[in-house]
Order: sequence, then structure tokens, then C-alpha cells
Amino acid sequence: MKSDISTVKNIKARSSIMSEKVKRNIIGWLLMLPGCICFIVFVIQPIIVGAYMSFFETQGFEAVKFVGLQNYKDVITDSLFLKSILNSAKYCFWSVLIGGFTPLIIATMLNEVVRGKTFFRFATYFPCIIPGIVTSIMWKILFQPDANGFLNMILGKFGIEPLQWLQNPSMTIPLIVFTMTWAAFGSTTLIYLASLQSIDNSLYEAAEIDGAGFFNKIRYVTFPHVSGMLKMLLLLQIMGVFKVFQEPLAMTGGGPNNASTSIMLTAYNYAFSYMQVGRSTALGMIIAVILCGFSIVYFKITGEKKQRSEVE
Amino acid sequence: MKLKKVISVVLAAVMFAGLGSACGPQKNEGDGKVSVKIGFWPRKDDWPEGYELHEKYLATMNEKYPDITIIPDNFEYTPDTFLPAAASGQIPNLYRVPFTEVEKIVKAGYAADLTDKMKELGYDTALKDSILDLVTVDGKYYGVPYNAYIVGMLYNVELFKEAGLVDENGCPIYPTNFEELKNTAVTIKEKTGKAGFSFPTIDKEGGWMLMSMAWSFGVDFMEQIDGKWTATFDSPEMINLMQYISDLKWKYDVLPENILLSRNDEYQLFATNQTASMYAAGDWANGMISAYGMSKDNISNAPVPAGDGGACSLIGGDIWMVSPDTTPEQIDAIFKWIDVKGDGLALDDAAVSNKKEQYKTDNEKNLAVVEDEFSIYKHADRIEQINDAKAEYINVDKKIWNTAYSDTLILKAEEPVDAQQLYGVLSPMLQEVLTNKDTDIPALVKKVNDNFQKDFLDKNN
Repeated sequence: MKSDISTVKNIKARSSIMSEKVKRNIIGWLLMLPGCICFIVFVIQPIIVGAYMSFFETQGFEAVKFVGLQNYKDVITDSLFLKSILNSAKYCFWSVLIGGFTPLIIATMLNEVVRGKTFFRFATYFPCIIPGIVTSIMWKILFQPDANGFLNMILGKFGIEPLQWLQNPSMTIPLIVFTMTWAAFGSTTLIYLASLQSIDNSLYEAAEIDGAGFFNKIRYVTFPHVSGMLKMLLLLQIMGVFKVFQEPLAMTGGGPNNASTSIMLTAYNYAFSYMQVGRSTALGMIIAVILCGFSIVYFKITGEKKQRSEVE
Repeated sequence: MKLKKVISVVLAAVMFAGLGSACGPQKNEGDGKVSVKIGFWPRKDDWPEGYELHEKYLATMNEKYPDITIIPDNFEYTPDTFLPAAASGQIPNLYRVPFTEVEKIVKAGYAADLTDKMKELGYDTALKDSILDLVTVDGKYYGVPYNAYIVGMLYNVELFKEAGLVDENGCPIYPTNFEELKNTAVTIKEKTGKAGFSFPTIDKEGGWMLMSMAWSFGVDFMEQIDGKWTATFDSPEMINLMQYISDLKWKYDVLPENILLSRNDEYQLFATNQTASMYAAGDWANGMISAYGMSKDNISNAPVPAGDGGACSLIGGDIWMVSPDTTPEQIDAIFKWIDVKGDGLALDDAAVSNKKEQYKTDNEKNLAVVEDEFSIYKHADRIEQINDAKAEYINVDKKIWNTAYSDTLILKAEEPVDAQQLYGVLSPMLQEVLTNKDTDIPALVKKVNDNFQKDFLDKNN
């Protein structure tokens, strides 16, 4: 009997603590609520509905008949599936090669700049404020393959024959990645710059005393400091680039002969060109599984970083 | 602290209000009248003449049918936005789509069945069978065709003159077959340095515009055997066509350097005298005039060249379709609106007067106003009625602005199934031929044919 009373007391005490906590944070909860609702409506709900629809034959956005894994089978056996997966992987590869280290190099240079710091930082960030579609169209015009194309005119001044640029299937993806890097490197550069500026100057001074030159200071002081962040940003970049869509759509339409078709562009075509929402969502789920794999690696890396910093 | 709490509560309330207003449904007037939302209404800033014209239609409508309320809507069909707009109930009661999109929209469930109304008004017997087929899905009618064109050739008069390819009247000498088309393009390139010929190659537009050329080469794309559709374009005719296109690029070098061309790229090249000839739909000329200020007098047109399959031309055009949740009363009001505009079957004096207003506006804007060469209706007097209304506004030199129509022309509708998907596989094939000099054309054609069968026809059979 006694223990029953104490249990009731405990429950009462706990619930009063809870209600006190809720009362204390009620304003915070209220402020968060619209955001949470938006998150559920615009992120969680489409994922759940998408997963559900991927098992159905669809009419517009209505699921009309359960077809099991048929949509997945149709998508995987499509002759474009493998090509678009491979292309998406190529985008990631080139993005690491072209866009992976560019922001770090620029950030290191910016960190060393003494005069005109504000100008250079603004200039670095400037491409980020241009709408993506404008960037794509601008570069498409610059890459015009005839002799009147802007870049070809410059090459012409040096006696170089006009290049085919985006029309050359082996150059299409690297060039699209180049334009993506141009458009997005500014924000990553600023993150690296912030990290670089947090390095204690005494470390550089100590390295100098030990006889380290410019490159050795980068190797032994700068690089270890930013390596964790570099890994994280590279992984986030790979995850972002794997979903590349707007640039090939605007610059090449996925051509020539599907040389730049990405997996997202294929999903878009299923939904919007052919109105096959079931197949589009099935492909979306496959992309989600692939990206989950990347996310696991990402969380492992960030987890390791957290553990390391806790030990330190 | 109190003030902070008050501010926070107010902020939260504002955010809730914002959320609520963003998700709020559109209210009907609820005054007992029939209200219909009419799409493709011109925006005042973008097209003031069109906007004024629609205001006049509206005035006529209000006068004739005071119980019908017309609600203008700027909704315009684009493949990217239609599906989400339709799924969220944002499409107007009446919307306009190209001929190519009907089957896709009907199968997605976003079109109302208009069979009864169209039969009641006599559209089923008045429309040409080939046109009625375009709006028929599973034996039911889903749209009102109002404007049709055929694919023809456009020629750049200035480039033809520069190349000396004009007759004693200064009219371009048109190629009538593919050998002549190639020779003309070669002469243009030699004499002017500009591309002699071009066609779109990206998205599905490349495949769509290739159809007339392919049929003229004698290509058959599909046939139904024992109820199942089979792709049949792995054929000598298609190989010949691809070889012809490859030769234009690699042997004769008469195409533009840029081969990843959209329709807009085509407009730009042609309007700026960078290319001398192209396959084009009937409304492209005015598209170039509007977008690039090209002179209508610099454009000449003619029927497509003939090949082993004859001279074949794809029929194109626009259709009014109705959203699925539209009531019979609203459908009735919609047909009245279509008639008032002059887009319907019943062409009364008021409708003719509205049509005249439209031609007058086009004339004032220096757009090409030309005689209709092809009618969607069976009755010959219908086209005469339209051309009579146009007569005083026609502003092109008929010697130069020939006709894309000829008695020997074979008019073709789209392929019966998976037409969009077919265009989607033909465009990359074109791109491969135009970017790879050493393409194994027979192998490529076989691969594309087999993929089309496997990816689309087999899945629908």
C-alpha cells in the first residue's frame, strides 16, 4: 500500500515537472510549431506518400492499383537506368576533382590576403547570389560551340580551333560540374575561411621557429585543422551532386545522346514528361536508398569528429 | 520579460496566420451564377493587345450571357508545371494544350469527358476525322480543337537572295525533294557561309520535328500485331534518314555548329540570318517575329520536301480542354465562351467580328497574317468564312509566303501509342549521329528501336 502511494506521488511529481517544463517552454514550442508543421507537410509527408505511391499504378498523383514491386522493376530494367546512375557517379567524381579542393585553395589564399579583403570575399561569394538557372543559361551561351561563341572567340585570338564544349560527350559532365563549382564554391570557401581563421597563430609561429616554410605550414598546421571539415563537406557535396538536375536540364537537356542525363533528370522525365508518377517515385526511393548509404558514412565521420573533440 | 513574451506570442500568431493563408482554398463566389475560370488569359504587361482583345470578348460575353461569370486566369500549359497544378486543383476550368499532350493528360485523369456536349453541338460530325482522332481517347472526346497547322518548311529570304537562289520575281527557289534540299543547303553554305538547314534536336522537340522527315523517307514507326504494338523503325528507311542527316553534318557541313538546339535556339538562328531553312510548325514564324523582331517579309514558306514515302506533314495545333471537376452547367458556359471567341463551331457575326479584331491586332503588331490553308472542319465554307474575315488584314506577299499545303501532301497525326516516349528516344539518336562522325548507324537504329520496344511498348502491351 505504501509503495502504491509513493508510486502515485512519483508519477504526480514527474507530471508536474513535465507540465512545468512545457509551461516554461510554451513560447518556444509555439514558435517552433509552424516550422514543424511545414517540415511535416513539405518534407516528411511527401517522402511517406512517395514511398507509398512507388508501389502503385498511378493516375496523375492518385494511386489507383497496387502493383507491388512492378514500378521498381520497370525503372531498373529501363535502358536509361544504368546510364543515368553511372552519369550521376561521374558528376560526383568530377565534382570532387574540380570542386572539392577549389574552395579550400581559395580560402587559403583569401586567408593570406592583407589588402582588399572585403572585395575578394564579396567577389568569391558573388556567384552564389546569382539564381542557378541564370548561371546555367549564362554558361550555356559562353560555351556556344561555333566560332562566334564567347570562349571560342577568345581561343580564336590564340589561333586555337573552336571547341565543341558541351557537345563533346566526354567533356559535357566535367564542364557542367565546372559551372556548378563556379556557382557554389563561394559559400564553401567562407566556411573554410572561418575555420582557417580560428587556427591559433601561435601554431604557425611555432612551426616557423621549427623551420617550416609556406607549404609545410599548410601540411602540418592548416590541413590537419580543416581535414575533418574537408571530409564532411566533400561528403555533403557528393550527396548534393548525386541529385544534380537543374544544370543538365537547362544546359544540355541531358544530351548529347544522354551523355549528361542524371538520375534525377530521369526521375523528372518519368513524372513530368510522361506523367508516370509511380515510376518516378520508385526511382526517387532508389535514389534515397543510395543517399542513405552516403548519410551513414557522413554520420560516422561526424561522430568520429565529435568523439575526437571530446577526447581532446 | 513580459514584453518579450507578448512579442513572441504575436510572432507565433503571425506565423500561424501566414501558414493558414498559404494553404487556404480558393472560394467560389456563391451568388447563384455559373462561374468559370478561363485559362490562357493574356497578362496586361506581357501582351497588352491580347489583354484588350480578351476584355472585348468578355464584354460580348457579359452582354450575351449575363448569368455567366467569367474569371480570367493566366494559367498556361507547360509540361513542368501542369501535373503539380492539376494535382493540387489549381488548373482553371478551361485550359489550352497542344495536340501532343491530350492522351497523357486524359490518362492522368485531368480532363473532363466532353463527348455528350460535343455530340449535342455537332462537333463529332463537323470536325475532320483526323482532327477528332486527336481528342479521342477510348472512344470519348476530351477537347475542342480550335487551331490547327501542318509542319512545313520556312526559308530565310535574305540568305536565299544572297546565295542567288531566287527566281525572277525574287522568290526563293524551294527544294521539292531531299536531294534538292541538300544541294540548296550546300549552295547556301558556299555562298553565304551560313548554315543551309537546321532542326531542333533536344528534349522531345527533336523527335517531334523529325517525324515529318521520317515519314517522308518512308519510315513506319510501329504496328499492331495480334493486339500488341511492335516498334518497326529498325528499317532501311530509318537508316537512310540517319545517314542523310549524318552526311548533312559530316560530309557537306551545312548544319549549324551548335547541334543541341531547342526551338528557341532555332528561332534565334533563323531570325538572325544564321540558318537558311528549317522544318517548322505553322506558328513558328510569328514566334520568331515576336521574340526577335524578325521581319515577316524575310520569311518564306513551302511544303516539306518529298522522299520515298511522299511528302508527309505532321498535323499540329491547339486544343481547349476542361478540368475534370467542372460541372455540366460550367461546361455549357465554356462552350458559349469558346463560340464568343470565335474558336468554336458556331461562328456567328459576333464571333466573326471578334476574329477580325484578332487579325487586326496581329496586323498592327506586324505579325504575319496569312490565309488559312488547312481547316479542322469538313465543311469548305468554314475556311472561306475565316479567310473572308482575314482578307483585309493579310499582310504578306503571297508569292513569297507560299503555302505549306499541297494537294499531294500526306497529312499525318501522331503515332497512336507512346508518341511522347518515341520523341524522347529519337532526340538522343539524332544527337548521337550529329556528334559522332563514326556512328554505326544500323547498330544505333536497332538499339533505339529495341529500347523503345522494351522500355515503353512492352510495358503497355
